[in-house]
Amino acid sequence: MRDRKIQLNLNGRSVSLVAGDNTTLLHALREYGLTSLKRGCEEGECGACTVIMNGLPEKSCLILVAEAEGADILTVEGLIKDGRLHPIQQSFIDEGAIQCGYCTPGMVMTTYALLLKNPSPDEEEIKEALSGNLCRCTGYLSIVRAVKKSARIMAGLSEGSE
Amino acid sequence: MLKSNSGESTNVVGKMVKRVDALEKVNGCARFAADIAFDGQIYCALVIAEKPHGILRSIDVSLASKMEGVEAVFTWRDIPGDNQLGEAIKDMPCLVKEGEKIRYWGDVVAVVAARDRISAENAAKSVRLDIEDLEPVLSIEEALEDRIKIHGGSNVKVTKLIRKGDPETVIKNSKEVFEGEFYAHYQEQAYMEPQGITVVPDLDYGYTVYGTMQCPYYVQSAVAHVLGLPMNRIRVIQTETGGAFGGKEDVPSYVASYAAVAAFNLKRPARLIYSREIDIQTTSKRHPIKSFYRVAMDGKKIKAIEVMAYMDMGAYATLTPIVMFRTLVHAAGAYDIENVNVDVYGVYTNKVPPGAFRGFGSPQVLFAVESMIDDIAWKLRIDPMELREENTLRPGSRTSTDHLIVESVGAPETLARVKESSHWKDLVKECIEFNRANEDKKRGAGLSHIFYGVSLGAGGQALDKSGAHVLINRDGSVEVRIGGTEMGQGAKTVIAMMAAEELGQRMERILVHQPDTAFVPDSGPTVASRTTIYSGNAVRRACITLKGKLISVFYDLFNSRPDKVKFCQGEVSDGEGRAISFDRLVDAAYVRNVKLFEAGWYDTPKLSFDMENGLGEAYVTYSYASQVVQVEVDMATGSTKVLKGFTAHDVGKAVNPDGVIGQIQGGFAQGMGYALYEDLKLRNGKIISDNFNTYIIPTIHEVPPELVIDIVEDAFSEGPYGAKGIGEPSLMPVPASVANAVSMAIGKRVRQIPVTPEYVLGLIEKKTD
Amino acid sequence: MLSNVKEYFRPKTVEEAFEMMEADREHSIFLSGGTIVALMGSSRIERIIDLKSLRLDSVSIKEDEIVVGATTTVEAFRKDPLMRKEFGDFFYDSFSLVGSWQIRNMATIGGSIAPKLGWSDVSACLLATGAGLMVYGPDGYRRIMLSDYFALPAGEKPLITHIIIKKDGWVSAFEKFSKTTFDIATVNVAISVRPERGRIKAARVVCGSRPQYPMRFETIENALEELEINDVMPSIVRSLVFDNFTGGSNMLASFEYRKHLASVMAQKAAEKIKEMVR
Repeated sequence: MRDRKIQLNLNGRSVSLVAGDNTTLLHALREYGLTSLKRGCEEGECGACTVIMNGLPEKSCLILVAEAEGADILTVEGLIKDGRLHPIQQSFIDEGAIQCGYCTPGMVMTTYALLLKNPSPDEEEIKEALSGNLCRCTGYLSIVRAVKKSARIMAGLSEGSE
Repeated sequence: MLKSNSGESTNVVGKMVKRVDALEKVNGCARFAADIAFDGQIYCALVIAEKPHGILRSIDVSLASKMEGVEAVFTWRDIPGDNQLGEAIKDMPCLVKEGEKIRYWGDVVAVVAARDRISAENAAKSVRLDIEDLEPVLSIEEALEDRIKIHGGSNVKVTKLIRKGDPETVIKNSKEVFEGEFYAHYQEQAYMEPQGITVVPDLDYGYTVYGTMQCPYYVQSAVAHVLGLPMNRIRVIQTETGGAFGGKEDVPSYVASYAAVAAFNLKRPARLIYSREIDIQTTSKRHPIKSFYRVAMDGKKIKAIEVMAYMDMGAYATLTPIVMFRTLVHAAGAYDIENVNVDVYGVYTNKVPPGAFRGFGSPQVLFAVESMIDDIAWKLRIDPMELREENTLRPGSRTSTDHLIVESVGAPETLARVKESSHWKDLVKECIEFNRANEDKKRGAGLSHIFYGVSLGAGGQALDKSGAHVLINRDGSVEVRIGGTEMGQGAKTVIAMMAAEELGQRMERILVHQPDTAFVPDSGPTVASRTTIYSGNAVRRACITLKGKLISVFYDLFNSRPDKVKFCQGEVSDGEGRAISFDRLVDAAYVRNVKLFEAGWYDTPKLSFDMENGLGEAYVTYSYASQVVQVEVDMATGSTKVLKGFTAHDVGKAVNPDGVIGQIQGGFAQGMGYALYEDLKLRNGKIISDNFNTYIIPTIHEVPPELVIDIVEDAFSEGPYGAKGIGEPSLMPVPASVANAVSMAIGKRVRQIPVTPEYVLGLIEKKTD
Repeated sequence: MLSNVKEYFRPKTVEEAFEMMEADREHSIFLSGGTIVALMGSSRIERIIDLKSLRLDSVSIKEDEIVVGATTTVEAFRKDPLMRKEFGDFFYDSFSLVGSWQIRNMATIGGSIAPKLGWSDVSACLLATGAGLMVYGPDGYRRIMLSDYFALPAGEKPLITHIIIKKDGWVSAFEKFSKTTFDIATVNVAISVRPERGRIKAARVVCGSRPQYPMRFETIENALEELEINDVMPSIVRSLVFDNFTGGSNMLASFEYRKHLASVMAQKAAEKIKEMVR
């Protein structure tokens, strides 16, 4: 099998990956060093592999790396600016929404995508957005609180900057 | 005896803090088993039998060995030590030998080592196994017939009993006798991170094992055994563990052994990460238990109880004998009953060997006994709450094993709290009124009341100890090492809090390291909700000793009376104006050549127990919980929704209140999954619901929006600050309360877990109960 | 895991895509959303033909028909302002439980239909709306009904380029039963009726995840003609579905339970329609 060279915009930087045609984006990005993307089920159920691709949350275990040619990809590693955590990351810590941590990057990225599209989601909208991210530890209640807190902080920040 | 310090005010313990391990988990730096890599590593894949019962005639690796990327294929011949796994009963091979039996679908026959995972998995599929089929035993009933013997002797391999008082006579003479039959099915732990281990030849000419696990010492012992090496050549370091719930108690020992065979023979790092399918198909589960109850009442008092419980232990005994002890002790419920007979049987079948899962053999019988009590309440027209209040364990009670419990018995309090928070009588009335007005949906309120024996109990005393190592660096930063593992439940945070409390150093300056068998000796397994007590007490002892030394240095500097010196949040003072920062005090100690590291050790209080009759002190202490849930059943489809939950837990002392709440919420969701959605399906001994598209666990949609939590603190004098344990009790009351709620909603008794929609519909349509 | 993939193509035109497939049908597969292809455990597939490069992802209106490009994602389709204007909340609500948000951002309408999946909510809903397909085959473009596509013999696999839904004023409702919001449908039901003067002038009744692929039940549809849309109508629909349901048993449910559920879901869908017509 021929290896192919893919060009992507990864966490704000232009990057070249070399991978076989049947390699998933999950595998390629993990090999590249982005281990925040997790392998939980490899069939698009658990959401631990969630990336933001061109602004939308998608399951990287189901994307062949060649499909990502030219795409904008964002992972949890790319949320940190100047060594400071993104408000979503901080809210997850503050609200006790992390236990074993395996689902956390996926939850954070889906939350990020949600708040991008809908800065003040109600509880139903939060659940619709996160139903593709499984968590076995927390029972989800603290995660819902973390999302609500993130929304409040981000709304406050954007108001402050105006 | 270590002073528990309960009652005294604390600076850190009992306060709301942030998890100490949250940062790495949220910024992507956390290193789970699959996130570490070693130069020259090879990837392993397993060749499993894929038949439930047979005789392995031959293993043909010729095709597989020549495939692209394959380094080697290893079989039983390549095991340098003993080809044996399993602790309690030595009935399980590591790799099945030709001429020997295949006893379940997931029996491992060979390990492929290749340069990448795909090559390894492709080669594994190309190994030819010639297995002569034998008729499989696929149910408890078939196993009991003993027509087909899986291990040569009777399939009923293990039995345990309790004989207390004279239940037979009491039942014979009683006018009110009730019977019930119940079944609780398998449950899959479904931790988000699959099993994964890397075994690496190390600098000390032995092997270091990295991976996701609960019990580094079990892994160390298993790998040493399989490689035929002394334990001093095997070092085990736990990686960040993405959930475990018991599924990583003994299984990592097996995973590590398979990888170790490859590492030993190739002298290269060997990495084995399970796919979700292999994980679900081959690794341990919650035991299916069929139980039979007979209860004699005298008014509101439970006078006698007889229980027979049959546990499906699959192809190999693994942890079953220990699980059975817990099933035995918990089968009669959280009640003071004078006459108790319990018989528990462990039977072999040709299916996956179940093992440890949050509750460890208790949720299945607690569901059964709580359903019995509820049923009795209905039939006698007594309020189910009153029946619990009348019979609950309280200080001065004797448990089913005749254990006299005098302190830390928060059971009556948890019952009272949940009665109040749920407005029990009003809630029941509300459901009845709703049901009168509605046909297509019905509501029910269900109560459960449980207890849990903390730590390893009378049978596990030889393992029940913990060590710790605490070191203070010159700059005042502290390193704590324990033998207990963090798996999401919050162990590291609780330990850091206790160290901060005892040393008076700020929490941010305390690091709890990943467990490493090189530093702390065998501290027992991280199970049975024991870490707060055992590792906690070991850490406290070490810290108290260190603090004593620092007090001497303070005296040297300031001449203060030792009993006046206070350590708090990184500051040390004597209340008379003399003060110094912790860090500078440590520096002063350093230049005085004070030894600034200490080992801590905590050994379990001795328990006296008569194994032959099942009587005596079964556990060092017990945690208690009571719970009420309200459900709504769709009468057309049989589907159940949990509307509200109210739960109260006696944890002795909530060292980390935020962590306790997190565990209770998580345990509730996982218990709900067991009660309603998680239905493991098998066909001819093969698990066919082997990924999350077929094994359905709760999503964010399924949990009720409200779970009212009450934490009761009835201090345990041996526990650090009075603490007991919460890890398992958080799940245990849920299947029982949900089943009771559904029973009330539909007016028929639920007798099986999971309470699937199809089952409920069948009950609704049945003419009689 | 497609272990033997050797080539990955990005055709620029439909014709090119079809030719690539014809060149080696046995070893090739079309990739659209990727949610099916990436899960296939096959060593036979060696060539992947990615249809997303065809940019068949717009939703437009052409006289009295809505034309949807086959590689439009389920989420984009569901939230499209034109779809919501013409069909209200039918697709928005019906597709809200397809997989998860991430899956809906990847799965495409065409990709949901093409593999003839039994449990597809998308197929069931589209079948009920009498949708047509524009397909490209050896003889070029042609337009067929979605039901015709499902009935094509196994060897015939034209490439779906567009889905066409008529703005015919029919009223539609969808109900499915699944163990949790996450699970695929144990059974799903989609009903579309043409109301006229308080009666059902014509109907399309679809049951899917039987476990077999969604199917219209003509016997039921004929029986519903001229039926008055009143409080009794939903229970009549329920009995008709119960009596005429065909399907089977599998890991998810027995046939008897499925049949029962289908009838219950049909009643719920009929209730929704009753409310919408009033």
